[in-house]
Amino acid sequence: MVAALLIRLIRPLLVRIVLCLIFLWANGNPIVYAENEDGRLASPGSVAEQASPLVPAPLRLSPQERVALRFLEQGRTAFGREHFARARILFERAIEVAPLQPYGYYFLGRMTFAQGDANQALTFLLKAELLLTQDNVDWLGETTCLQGAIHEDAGDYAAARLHYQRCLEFSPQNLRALSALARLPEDDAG
Amino acid sequence: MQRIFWGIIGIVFIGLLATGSVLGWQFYHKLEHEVVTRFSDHRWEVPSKIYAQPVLLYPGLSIADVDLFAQLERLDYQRVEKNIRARGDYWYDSEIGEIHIFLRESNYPGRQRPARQIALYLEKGHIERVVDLDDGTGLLFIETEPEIITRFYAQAWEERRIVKFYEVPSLLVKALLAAEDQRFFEHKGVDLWRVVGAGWANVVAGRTVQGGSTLTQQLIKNFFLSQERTLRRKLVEVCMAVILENHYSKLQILENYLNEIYLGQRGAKSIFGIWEAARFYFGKEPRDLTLGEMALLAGMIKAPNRYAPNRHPERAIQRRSQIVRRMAQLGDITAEEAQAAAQETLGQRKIPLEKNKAPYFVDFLRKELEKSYPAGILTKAGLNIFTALDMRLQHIARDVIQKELVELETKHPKLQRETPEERLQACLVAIQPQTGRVLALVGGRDYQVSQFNRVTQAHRQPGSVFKPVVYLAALERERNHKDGWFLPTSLINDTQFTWFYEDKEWSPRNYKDKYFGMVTLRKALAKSLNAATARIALEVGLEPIRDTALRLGFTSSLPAYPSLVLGAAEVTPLEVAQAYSTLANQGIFTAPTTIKWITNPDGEPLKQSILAVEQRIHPDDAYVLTHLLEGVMAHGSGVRARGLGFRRPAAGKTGTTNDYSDAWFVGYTPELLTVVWVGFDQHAPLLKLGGAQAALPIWTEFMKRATAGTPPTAFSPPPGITLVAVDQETGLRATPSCPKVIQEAFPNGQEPILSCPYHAPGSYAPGSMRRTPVRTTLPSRRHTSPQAASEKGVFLSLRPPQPVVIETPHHPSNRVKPWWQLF
Repeated sequence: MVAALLIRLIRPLLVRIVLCLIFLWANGNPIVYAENEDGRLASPGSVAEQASPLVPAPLRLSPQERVALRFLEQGRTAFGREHFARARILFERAIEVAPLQPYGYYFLGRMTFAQGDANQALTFLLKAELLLTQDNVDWLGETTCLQGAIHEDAGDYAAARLHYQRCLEFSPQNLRALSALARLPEDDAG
Repeated sequence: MQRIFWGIIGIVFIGLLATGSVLGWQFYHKLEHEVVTRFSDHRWEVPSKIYAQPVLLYPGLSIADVDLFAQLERLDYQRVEKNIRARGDYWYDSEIGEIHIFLRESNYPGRQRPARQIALYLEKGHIERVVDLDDGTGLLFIETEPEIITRFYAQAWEERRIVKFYEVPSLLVKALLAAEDQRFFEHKGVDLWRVVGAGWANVVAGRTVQGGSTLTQQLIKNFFLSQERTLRRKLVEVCMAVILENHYSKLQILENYLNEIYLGQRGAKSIFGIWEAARFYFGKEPRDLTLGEMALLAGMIKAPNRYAPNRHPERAIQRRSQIVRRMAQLGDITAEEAQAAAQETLGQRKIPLEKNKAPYFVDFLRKELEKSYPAGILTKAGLNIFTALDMRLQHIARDVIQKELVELETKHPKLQRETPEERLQACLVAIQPQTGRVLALVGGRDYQVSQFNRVTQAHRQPGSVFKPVVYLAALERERNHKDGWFLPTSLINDTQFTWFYEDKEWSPRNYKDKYFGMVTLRKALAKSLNAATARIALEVGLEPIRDTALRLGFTSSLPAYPSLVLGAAEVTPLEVAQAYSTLANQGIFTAPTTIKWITNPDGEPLKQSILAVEQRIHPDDAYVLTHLLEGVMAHGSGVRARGLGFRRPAAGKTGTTNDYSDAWFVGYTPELLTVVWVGFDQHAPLLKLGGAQAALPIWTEFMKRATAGTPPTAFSPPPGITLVAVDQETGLRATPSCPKVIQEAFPNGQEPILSCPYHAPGSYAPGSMRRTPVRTTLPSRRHTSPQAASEKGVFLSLRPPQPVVIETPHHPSNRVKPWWQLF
């Protein structure tokens, strides 16, 4: 009886610890590798490249989108090296060339969040989300997860939980959303 | 006595000598101070340059769609018959489908690129591969240098680009010295042998045939002195030249000379400096000039307009031969080189017309810039201003306006006017909604006749173009927690009524006084029905409509009178573009952007515009309205665009004011928004022509050409929207028997649950619906209490649970009645 009670008390804590460990492990192992400006595989380790899924294969894209993708890759590289001004130029160029491609907005959202402008970040991410097709679940998951992180950072845990849950709808295995949901306070008082 | 006399003479002489020395010393110091101060502080007056966007070339691009050769011509590229040799050359072989271009270097901030030789391999008119000819590697894309739109000149229209001494080829310097001052490196500012020689030559000839001035003296004359020919000025010039030589090196003097020298005219503008002259006369940079061209440039200094190769080729060739011979005599070149240079053909270069290619845009830009920079800076500091303007679209816009207005006047001769100032006008502005970049802006028909920029300065009534604001406010109603809501299938009563406000009354009337009775919201917008729109506005209220308008981007004053809802308030076309741009960008506001970068002459950024976004409208509402506006293009007042050949997915709205003095068309694809206005500055009526007849053809032609080369894209519904097939007339779920079925956009959970009962066998005929309204149970809706549903019984979705009264003196007519009480 006592053991059952103890297990019941400890189990949520254990779950959170395990999820946090998984999250830390995953962050040490980049999910994607992207091409750098020279066309070679970029070395892992940059913040920008760790957490974003691969963009679609260029063969399926229009010529404009392929060019935009190139700017995007260069922007990712610059962002990974924390050359924010250069990264912004490249992301914006990607949007200018193919304004309906969502990835430029996603990275601009990511970057503006890194620079501390949560409102801009959320709007860019909303735009990215609106442009992502429903079958692009990896990117939808990433986008909503990042929206959750921004809300969490701002202390709006209710909105954060909502976005993390949406993230899991798209990408049930998203470890960051899982761990965030485990770590968020039970009540939404922020 | 004699001793005393000589003593006095001696003293006087010594006194005069001393006085002269003191005065001379003072004079020298004064001149020295002046020369050193002014020479050190000398700043060239370099006009600021305004650039358009560079042209991006990449595999898959159709060269016809981007009008590549016209773009190269505007960039002052010269087609050559054989190999490309100099920057600015290009070669094209249509048979093998290859274009070689020697791109000039690009100074675009963040995208600087050195000069580069590239090849474009074509396949059926499309670029198949882009190859860097220097190393043979394939490129994913390449862009040209940005095109200069115009320059901001000071009162003196001087064109000059400053070069450093090391940028000038040594042969050009040698040619210059051979022509003007062969002992430049030997004398100290004044060449006595040259003075004597020139004097003797002039005496022998009996007139002035040779000058004795050194380069230093010429520089002094241009820098400090007037052009008058007096002995005093000559003496001062000599003194100053000596002072200059004492304080500055020969290379410094030569560099200044290369930038200062006058080399002819380009219309009203003066060409100064060797770089500008090389570009103007030969389309090349100094480092790419041939020996013959260098000799010619050097020879022109003596009399630039007399020896200009574009005006007097024979004289120019004679002068070139003289310089080449002299260079050979001085040992600068060999006899063979001299012979080859003398035999160079003087190519008949096509000099591009130097004119402001987007005058209205530049005026607008200048006004924006003058808020941050004094006019003097803009005209003298040599800033580089990189704009968002797309020159291809700009040219299309200008051409289309010219052509379509003439066509309109030909078709309707009563629109013609005798004086140019009174002629029919039009304006156009095109924006990329996602970035706010102003891609094209034409503020009027002819800038020479009228500089009034109708895009930014003309406050005109928008007419029906304003109506979507009313519909958007209605669609937003539920989101704003107001009672009653609207969906595209909501039924509105399109009959005459009177709106009472502030002891006044206002009766909106439909076009030709034709009323349709109960219509869906979609049909009301598609047919631009005034009465139905005003009824919606009465329900929604003026304040929410004004609030929606402000959030969309309208900035003009919008008085809270009922006529506002039919577009009676005056706004500029740029505001209209801004508002619709927010819609096209899924409710996200981005301010219109004209300037991308400003850099100083050294290319260091002074200002950069960054993309800033703000969500102002919920994306679901923005989409539903866009979907409704797609209906305007499909079967409403904008359907003529389809007949004229514009087939892409697009949303749009016509606008016509009551007195027919303004005709509008606003339309957008997901990637490009364009606003067109047509009218008379004097507010004269356009006969009986509305937006669909006067403005829509301009919009259509522009959009057809502007979007060529890009794949068509559709408006994609956001996740909060569900598309449902409904019967067009009833707005209920379509059945197989329904004759007209359309896809309608509903916010999730607000889709109709009932199927159309009217087209099933044995049902009412659709026409009977108006006479015998059928009550239905409330469709499944969010936020709707069953109690409210059972109490009211609504037809589809227009369900004001409580009558809404406009905040004006109470009057029975101001009460919105349920639809069944409206008959």
